[in-house]
Amino acid sequence: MPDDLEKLKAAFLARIASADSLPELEQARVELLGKKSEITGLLKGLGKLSPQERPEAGKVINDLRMVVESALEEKTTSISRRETLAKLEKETFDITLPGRPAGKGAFHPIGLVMEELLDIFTGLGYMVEEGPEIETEERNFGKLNFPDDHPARDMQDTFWVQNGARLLRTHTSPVQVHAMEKYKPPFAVIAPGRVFRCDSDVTHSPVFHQLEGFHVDKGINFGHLKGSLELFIHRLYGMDTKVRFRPSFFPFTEPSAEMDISCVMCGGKGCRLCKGTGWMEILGAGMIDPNVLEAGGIDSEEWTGFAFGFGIERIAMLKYGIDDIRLLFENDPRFLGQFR
Amino acid sequence: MLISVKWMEELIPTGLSPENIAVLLTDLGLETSIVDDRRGWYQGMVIGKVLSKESHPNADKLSLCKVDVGEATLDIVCGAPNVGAGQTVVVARVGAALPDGMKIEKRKVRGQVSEGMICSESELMLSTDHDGIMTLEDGLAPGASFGDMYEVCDTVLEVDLTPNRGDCLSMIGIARELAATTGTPLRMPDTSLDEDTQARSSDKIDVQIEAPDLCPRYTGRVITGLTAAKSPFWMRRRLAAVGVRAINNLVDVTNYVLMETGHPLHAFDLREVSGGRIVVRRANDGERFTTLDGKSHQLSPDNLVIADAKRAVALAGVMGGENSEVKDTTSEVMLEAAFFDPSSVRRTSKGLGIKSESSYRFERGCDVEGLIFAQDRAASLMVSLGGGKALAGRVDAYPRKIEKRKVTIRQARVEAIMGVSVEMERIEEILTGLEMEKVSTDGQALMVEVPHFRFDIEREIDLVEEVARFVGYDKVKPTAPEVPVSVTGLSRSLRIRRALRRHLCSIGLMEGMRYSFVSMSDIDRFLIPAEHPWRRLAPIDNPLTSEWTHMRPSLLPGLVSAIKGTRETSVFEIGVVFQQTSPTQSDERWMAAVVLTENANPGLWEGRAPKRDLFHMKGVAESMASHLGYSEVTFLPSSHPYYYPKRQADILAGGVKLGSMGQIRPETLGAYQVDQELFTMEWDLDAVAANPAPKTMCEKLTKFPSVKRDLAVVVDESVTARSLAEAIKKHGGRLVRQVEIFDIYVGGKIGEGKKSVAFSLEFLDETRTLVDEEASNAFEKIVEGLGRDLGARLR
Repeated sequence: MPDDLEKLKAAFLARIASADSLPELEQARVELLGKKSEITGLLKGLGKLSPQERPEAGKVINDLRMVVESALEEKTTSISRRETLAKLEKETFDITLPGRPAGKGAFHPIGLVMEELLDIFTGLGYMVEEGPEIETEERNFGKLNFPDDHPARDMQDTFWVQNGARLLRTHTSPVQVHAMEKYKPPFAVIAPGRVFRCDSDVTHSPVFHQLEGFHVDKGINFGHLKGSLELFIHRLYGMDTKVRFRPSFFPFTEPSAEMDISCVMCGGKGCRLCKGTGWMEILGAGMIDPNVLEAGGIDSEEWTGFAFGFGIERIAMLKYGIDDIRLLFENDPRFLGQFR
Repeated sequence: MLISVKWMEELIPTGLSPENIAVLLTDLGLETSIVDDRRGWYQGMVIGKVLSKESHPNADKLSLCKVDVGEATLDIVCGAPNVGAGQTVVVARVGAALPDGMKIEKRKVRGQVSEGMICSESELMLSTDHDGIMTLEDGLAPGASFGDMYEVCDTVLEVDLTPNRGDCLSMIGIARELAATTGTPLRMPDTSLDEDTQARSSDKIDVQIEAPDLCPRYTGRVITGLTAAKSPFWMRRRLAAVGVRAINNLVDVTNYVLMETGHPLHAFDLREVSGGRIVVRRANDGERFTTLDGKSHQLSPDNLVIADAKRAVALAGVMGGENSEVKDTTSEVMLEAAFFDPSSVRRTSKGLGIKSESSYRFERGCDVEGLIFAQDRAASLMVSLGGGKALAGRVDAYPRKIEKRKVTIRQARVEAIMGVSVEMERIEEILTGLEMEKVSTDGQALMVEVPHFRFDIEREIDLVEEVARFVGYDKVKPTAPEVPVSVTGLSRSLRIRRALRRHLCSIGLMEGMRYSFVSMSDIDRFLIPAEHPWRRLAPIDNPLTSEWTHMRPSLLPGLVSAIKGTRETSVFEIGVVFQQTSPTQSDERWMAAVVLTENANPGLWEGRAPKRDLFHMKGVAESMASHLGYSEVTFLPSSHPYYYPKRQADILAGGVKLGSMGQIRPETLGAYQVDQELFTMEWDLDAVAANPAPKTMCEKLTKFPSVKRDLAVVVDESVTARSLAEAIKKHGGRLVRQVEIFDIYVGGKIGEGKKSVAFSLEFLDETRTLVDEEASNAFEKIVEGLGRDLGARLR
């Protein structure tokens, strides 16, 4: 009998395999497991066996039945999966048609760059301070060591307001003065904001944005200035960007420096953008002038500090290849929609 | 500041290439670039002597010249009217190329052979002089290379000077920096002068300083017997290289010495100086004066003038007068070399709107001692170029002696500032290399005396900078410092702005940015009445254009003025607005504004997007409020003049007004040429920051089921949705969980002046399963209450 059973099992499984649709499979089920099936017949024949033989034979037949059942189930799953898939395949969709708009908002390039820069500096531990856009002459110039009637004041064409009573701040440096009035050192501050100069062409806007940074503590020196700015540039432009510092002049820092970075376009080989020099002027910096510290009530022998500042528009224009600064302020939706 | 490298080489023969000089200067903080490079020019151009000139047989305006060029005599056809036998000229021989690229070939000109070209200054790009061929002084050997003979194959550098370095506004000033960095000694130009042995300058002039505070020193030197003429080529060439136009030898000498030494000089025609008397005084109030550029000015006692016995003859340090300027007929001059107070010169120059090479230098500070050298140098050149005789000595009025400053530098301070240790010997070497004199030292500190020309050095830190410049910034090792811990981080205001920007972008708006300026006509276009807060504008004294005369009182004018011509706009701006609170004070607030056009994004392919209305803006307002954490926001009627009277609202949360919104009036749209409806909104972010939403507390989620009922009532059209919803909540009691409108109908079926409003109501008891009957009771009470309060009847 075991021999027959193996043949029987093979025949049953072949029968199931040959069914190719759910009705065919149902037919196979009836044939194999129904009342008139061979398995049912075998089970009925058990009664003719002796009580000693019966359990053994019963187990063998039941095992056969279970094999058949699980084969049927497996086949059912595979057929219905195939049929579902066939149905889904008929549901088509033209992926090239536009989607229904769901808020294609966009950031302003200045906002994007400003946020990136603030994230870098707050990540380094700086705190953020802001100052008013209409300033006093004292905070914009006087306390920043611009002497009265000195040509240094010509470096920044000033908009005067309210009949000379105030001015539109020409740089974010007055925030240094505010911070010194507000806090005792040590402090490290970053000050973003809008500034104004009486100047307008393709690269100069009467309204633009700056980021000022300054760090006052005991023992701060020019090496710290270099280290901090190098770190910043590496975070902004990557480790491969080289920096160099050249002497320069700002009334509120001494010694003062211009920082150049290797050209973001050609990497320092020399191109049109960097006028073949391989370098781009990016920011002004220096050790805070003792007069500025003293005007802020800070003992310049005990405390030293560095400060730096740069234009956000320039960084944004370089980053996105914007060639006319005025585009930034015209609100043309075709322009505004590009930056994310 | 332009620098001729050839001229520089005479003052300091470093032998360095222009490129190297540019790098050295840039590394010292004098940003330098090459702006004109003539190395390799003028090949094949030689000195020629015109032997003969005959007229051209076939052309009236041409002549045939025979020109000796040393190894040969060339036939040259020349078109210049001024060519003549005996002249020494520049000949471009066959094979040479002119600076503009034109190749010289042997060719026939109207049938006559021409074997070269006699050049003009403009053809050689040495000046814009088109008057004819260039003639040189006699006695030059024909055939000599023009490029070798003169400094014409020069390179010009431009030095972008910072305003503290007035001392570098000259060839010698720059040479001093080069001397200090290379160690090559400076060769000062010749000032030797063969003075008259009899007559003295003081015989002819007399100087009186009435305002020594503004003029500590005034000197005059007299030169007689001069003849005005064209300056020699070498001087005209050098002046042209540094950007100065040649006039005549007398004027050119003063300009030349100005460029060479940096000290402004002025030559007066002594005939015009009445009584030979020089009075340095403040101008009289209202005194009129005509400067040598022909412009007339009204002066005040703030202006310092140089006067003679009768009248002003110069604006001190700024510009000479038309009445006493040097002319072609001048033979006797007084050469002024003086020191004027920098602030005073600057005030006069700014006040009268006159900028000159002289005022530019005086306001940056000149050398009160070095002016003697400049005067002698000019006298020496004037005598050698203009003939004549310098009278003996000078008149030197120096009532207020200016002492040299003494400044001490500590070695420890250098290290504290720079972060590198510099040896005392090196510090001393650097400073003495900059012509500072050592006064004393104790091994840790060094006291030096600062030369007069270094106006920028007053304090120790100024010396530290000098040391740092010459040590080199690249010698300082970069070190990241420890940053002091701060507890503040981003301010609340900044966090709000940041959150709003991100939110508004994510709901489909674009971030825009406009200028901070408006004009009075913007205010008028917004129909702003008198006394309205928008009229309290902070005025700009010196606006760039008539459209930008005041600081913006709102973000709306800027946003609306950018709409013209765009089809669809969904833009917001976050920025500062201004309001004048007194004639000298103003308030600043951070605002956020949104503008939506009626046209929406056209990107729907299954039909055009519906036009937007005020409810779109209200949706933005609600989502903003929700994002800022306000659970309840109310919209109350408002009366902003630029909105439709009944299509606007103030936006409140927690009882505080945070903003307003509305539909822009057609008059305003018309004024800005906007041809569609516009919806705008403005929030006061300072008010938002000052009124934070209550802290969010987690609400328990209920596991009991709710009961839903629909309710449609007919009411008068004037009954607002808000009052219905509030009445439902009031009468339904604590079981009313949610009230939502799902339909509004106006039409014939329900009668004139009526509307039907349908609500979906949700009842819930948080503590147990609600019995249907309880919900029905509440529903009955609501229907009854609505009827009583608002005249509503069930539909």
